[in-house]
Amino acid sequence: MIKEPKLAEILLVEDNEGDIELTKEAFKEAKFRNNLHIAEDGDEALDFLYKRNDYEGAATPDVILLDLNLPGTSGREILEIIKADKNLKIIPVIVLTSSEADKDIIESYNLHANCYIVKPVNAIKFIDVVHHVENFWVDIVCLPTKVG
Amino acid sequence: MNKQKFSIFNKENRAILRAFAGFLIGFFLIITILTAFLLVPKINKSLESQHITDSTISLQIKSELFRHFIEDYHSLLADLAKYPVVTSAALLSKSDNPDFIDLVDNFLIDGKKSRLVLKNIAGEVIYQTSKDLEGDLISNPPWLKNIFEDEAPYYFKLIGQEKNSFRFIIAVPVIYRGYTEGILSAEITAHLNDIFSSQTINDSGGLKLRQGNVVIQSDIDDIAVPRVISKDIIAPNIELTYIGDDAPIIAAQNKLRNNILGTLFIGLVISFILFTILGYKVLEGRQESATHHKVKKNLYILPIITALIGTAASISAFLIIKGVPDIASWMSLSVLLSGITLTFFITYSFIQFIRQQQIIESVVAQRTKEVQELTSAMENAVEGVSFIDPQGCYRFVNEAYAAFCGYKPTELLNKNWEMTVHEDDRQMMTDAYQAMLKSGKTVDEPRGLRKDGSVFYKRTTMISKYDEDGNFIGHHCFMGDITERKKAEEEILRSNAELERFAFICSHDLQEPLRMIRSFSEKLQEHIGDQFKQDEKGKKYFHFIIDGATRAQNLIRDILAYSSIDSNAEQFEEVCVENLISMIKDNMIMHIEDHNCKITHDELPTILGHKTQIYQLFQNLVNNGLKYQGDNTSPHVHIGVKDTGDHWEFSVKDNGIGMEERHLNKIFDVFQRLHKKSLYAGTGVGLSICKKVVERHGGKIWVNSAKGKGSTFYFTLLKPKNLENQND
Repeated sequence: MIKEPKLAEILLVEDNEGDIELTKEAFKEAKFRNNLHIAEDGDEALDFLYKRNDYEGAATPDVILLDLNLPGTSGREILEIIKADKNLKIIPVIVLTSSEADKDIIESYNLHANCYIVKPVNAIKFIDVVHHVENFWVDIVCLPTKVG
Repeated sequence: MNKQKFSIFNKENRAILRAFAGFLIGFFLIITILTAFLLVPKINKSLESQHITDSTISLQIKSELFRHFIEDYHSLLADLAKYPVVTSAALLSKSDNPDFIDLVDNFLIDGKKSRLVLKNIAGEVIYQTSKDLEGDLISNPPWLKNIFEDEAPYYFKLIGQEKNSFRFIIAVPVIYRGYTEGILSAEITAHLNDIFSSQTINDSGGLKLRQGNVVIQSDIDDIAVPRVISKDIIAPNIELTYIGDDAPIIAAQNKLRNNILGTLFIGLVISFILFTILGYKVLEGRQESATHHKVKKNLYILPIITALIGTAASISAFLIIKGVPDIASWMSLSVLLSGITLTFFITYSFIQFIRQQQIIESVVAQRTKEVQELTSAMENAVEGVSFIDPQGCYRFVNEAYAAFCGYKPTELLNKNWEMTVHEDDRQMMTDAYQAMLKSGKTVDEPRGLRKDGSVFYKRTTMISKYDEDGNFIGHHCFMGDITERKKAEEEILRSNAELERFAFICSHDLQEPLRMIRSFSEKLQEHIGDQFKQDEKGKKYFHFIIDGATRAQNLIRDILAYSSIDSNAEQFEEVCVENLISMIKDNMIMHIEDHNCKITHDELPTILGHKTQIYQLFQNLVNNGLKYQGDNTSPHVHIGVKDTGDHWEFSVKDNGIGMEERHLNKIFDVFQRLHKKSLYAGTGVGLSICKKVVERHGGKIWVNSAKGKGSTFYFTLLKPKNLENQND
């Protein structure tokens, strides 16, 4: 299936300013044109996904990068909500977190996370990982055609 | 358990029985004495007066008969006096007329030739039928004068009595043309029966007729208890007297009294015997279920039979009395009623008594069952149970107790307690024993010694035991094997110590490298100097470095504060919360003034607690109240307090942004935050510290909040007295 090159809509749910900065830089250097949206806490992410409050008219993301440890509504709760919603559950959710705990990994996959990535401590490696993610999820993987 | 021989004559029963018997006997005596002394004399008196009345009436009849008797003779003689030969003889004072002599000599009274005397007006004897006449008939008695002068009724005169007959004189005037010309008198002998006929009132009684000195009477020799019962005056100088015999009356009275008393007494004695038998059965039957059952079944039958007997006795008494004529009905009725009342009252009392016995029995049975269950429970309990006498020897040991110590129960019986306690802990247990003697109960955790010499940890609860009179008879020792728990506790203590060491490392060794990062980042910034001023990205990176290090330092600081709450085992002291709030306000004065904050509070109590921790608790909550505020507001925190009995319930209320309900359950978790750092900074440890402090002080913490409506944090702290108890 050949498609017109288009803007990849990516939602980053992350509260750590440093990680936000690194992710932003990684996506700037990306091969594909992309639109990186940032939600700094869980409620903001949900507002974005449901296009409410300050996010009316927001784009539906093609991929979601989700941190587990968020203030207020946690990453787990967001994952649960997305995967329980018949409109949102088709969006791939990539858990990107600093936790290496087995408990978190198993729980995330149980909640139907599409993949689980541990944030590398090293900044260069972090950017590298984000590149890989972008490469795989935006370039290689075939995503469903957006409805509406 | 030893079955004690049941005795109905135990202390309690003896008292009840004594009281009951005394009550019964007393009542019987009262009713019998009342009947004997009040009722019977009354009945007797009544009987007697009835008897007298009857006698009087009969006597009057008798008198009347006597009057007729005399009248008959009088008429007979008066008829004779009317003959012309008689009147002429009297008038002429001559009795030589043969017709006259023939008439008078052949005049018969009661079929016998009569003895007559005719006198003239001068009182001279004109004629007499026989020469042996004497006394009143020949002489001129005083009453003769009355007849002459027409004043008579005195024409009758008794002469005397011979065994079964009596003699009397009767005189009539001889009247010629309205003038009394002479007196015709006759001496008559009559049979006693003619006047004292066998129709007398009472066969055993006697009659007496008296005129002047002359007395004629029926035979009264056989009268046992003679008594003059009644008199009647027939004429002014003649009286008729009835002499009664009291013996039959007395006999009748005695019979009546004996009947009444006998009936009552027999009725009551039967009742008493039945009661006694039933009472004995009831008391005796307490132990034997079969007898007991039977007695229970007959519980109401026997008293009812008794009551019926009592009632029958009363009715019999009533009927006996009723047979006696003219007894006031209330009197007989009162006997009936008192008899019935008495028997029913006794019956009721007895049923009550038995009921009470039944209640006591059921309580005893219940208690016995409980004791048996308890004993069985003790013998089979998982926990070790033993009883130790004042000499320190085991008197009871259950399976579990012995098993913990590696023995069989029989091996421990009558042995000293010391063999089951580690020698180093024996002094401790001796002290504990002394303490138990004072306070009644002690709980200790000494080391135990098994049969094979191995050591184990046990938890012992010693409870002193006293008999009914308050004499110390030994103590119960309940024992559990807590070796596993002790090991776990030791493990926890060890890991706690490790954690403390870890916290110490965090506070010092981990802070060190972080400080290096911060310091040298800043140094590097300076070193790069002017070139760096143009480099926005570089500046941003340096910011991340310093910010990260700072956050790490804060996290370490907070987590250290959090973990130190447990390890800090300082003694509690009195903390004046009011002063504490002042201190917090003083420390925050800059912030308060800058942000136009207001902190108010109720009158706050003094509590017992760890001062630094309580300070931390209030400071964190006040801080949060002031911190989580919307834009352009005047933060206001109010600290309130409420007395809930055992606890003080504090509240810290703010007018801040509040929280959604779904977040409320996680805000006390460590590192849990609700807001992004750019909005409200923090590590997410503050409320966790609050929770830990409150829990360590025997309280709980919770929050009420709604988004946009502010939050109120509540927590309770045990009052000093209760806190001490809890620590025990």
